[in-house]
Amino acid sequence: MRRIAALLAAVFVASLALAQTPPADPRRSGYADMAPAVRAMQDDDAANPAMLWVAEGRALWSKPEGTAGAACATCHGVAERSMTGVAARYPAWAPAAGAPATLERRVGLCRELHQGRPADAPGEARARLALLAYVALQSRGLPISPPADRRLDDARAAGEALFERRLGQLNLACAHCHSDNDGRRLAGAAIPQAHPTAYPLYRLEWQDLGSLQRRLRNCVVGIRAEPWPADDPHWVALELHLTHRARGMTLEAPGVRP
Amino acid sequence: MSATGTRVASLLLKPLSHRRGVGRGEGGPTITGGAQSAFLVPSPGLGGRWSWLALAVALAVAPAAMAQQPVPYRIVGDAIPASLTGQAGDAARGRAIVASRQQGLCLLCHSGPIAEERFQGTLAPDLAGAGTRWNEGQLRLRIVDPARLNPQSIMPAYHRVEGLDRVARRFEGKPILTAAQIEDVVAYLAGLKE
Repeated sequence: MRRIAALLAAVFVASLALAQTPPADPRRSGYADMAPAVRAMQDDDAANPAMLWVAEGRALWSKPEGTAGAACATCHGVAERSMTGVAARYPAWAPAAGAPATLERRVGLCRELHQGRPADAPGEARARLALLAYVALQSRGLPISPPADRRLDDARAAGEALFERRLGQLNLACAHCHSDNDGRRLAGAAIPQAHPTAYPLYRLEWQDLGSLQRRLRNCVVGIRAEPWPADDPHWVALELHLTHRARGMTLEAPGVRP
Repeated sequence: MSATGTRVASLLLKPLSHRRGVGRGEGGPTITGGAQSAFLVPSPGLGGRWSWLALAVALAVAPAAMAQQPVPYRIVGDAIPASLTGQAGDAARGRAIVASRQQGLCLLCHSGPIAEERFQGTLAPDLAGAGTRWNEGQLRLRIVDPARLNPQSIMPAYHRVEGLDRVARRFEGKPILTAAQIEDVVAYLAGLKE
């Protein structure tokens, strides 16, 4: 009898919880539509190839470099503490650039200004990506939280307009696929909603780790449009719009995608 | 001139003074720092024999270059009744163009009765039976410039170079398919009877 009463109580509590559930969020991370084998690869740090870059980034974090002979840790201390939540708020305003910057660009600025490593130094791109992966890991599991910074508003609005603008010989806008036709198949591949939940990520198609900017460049080249130069304000504007669109979703970085 | 005649005349292909196919996102905030620049390369003067050689090269290259340019056409109702080349296309070549991910790109969005291409799209109607639904002239306009019939269409215009934004340099000024390729695709699709 006590067991039946307990069961009834449990059902009652469960029904209360159900009644209070807010309407389901229609937004989906690309993770939700991946094959189980690819999901398993992301879920297991020992199988996730992006963790190789994380290991490299961790080593770089405390390695003195450049003309200043400073390491990241010299200013920022322990990344597990100082970098928590940082990747979840970027792109953000970068005072050194006087403009919004992606996290990858921010890492580059720090290395240029505080370590004295020029952006075109050998191996710099890979070092930046490795540090990006290591810093992003410190925000894994946190909600994407774009800052309420008025200095970002213009670029964010420009990114929103750009998302809707037809480009290239194929005359397509981002929105045509990723807002109007997500879930349908483009040559057999499911079109994702384009929420940047897992960058930087290891893409099996690339056999490499890449930033969101690299992924955006892929799409722009795919519609036969001329890509903007690296770190061009158009890319930053698009990232600002995408992170705003994905605000509140959980950061899974560093992820794996097909 | 009759009303129909006026309409046909107004639809004759001519340089468009306004941008088309950019129905969304216009008038929004602009982004600085990304403008494309045009370069004018000064050419050294060529005299004597070299100018004849240059002319000969130009004449030899001209037909190939012209084959890349869009050809004029006439729209009647919802169709382009006449072949763009004055000749009938080749259905077998058209099938290869439709199947190709580099040329026609059709199967990225459409599915079609091309069994050997396993990865086909579901963004657009199945091409099977296209020849039952549309005649050749209707198919031709729907490939050449679908926005003429539906400005919101996501299907690219396969034989138009105006009204496009930021086209990659290697595709600049070139339509996706040449007039001859369009005719091949029309011949293939017109033969897809259910």
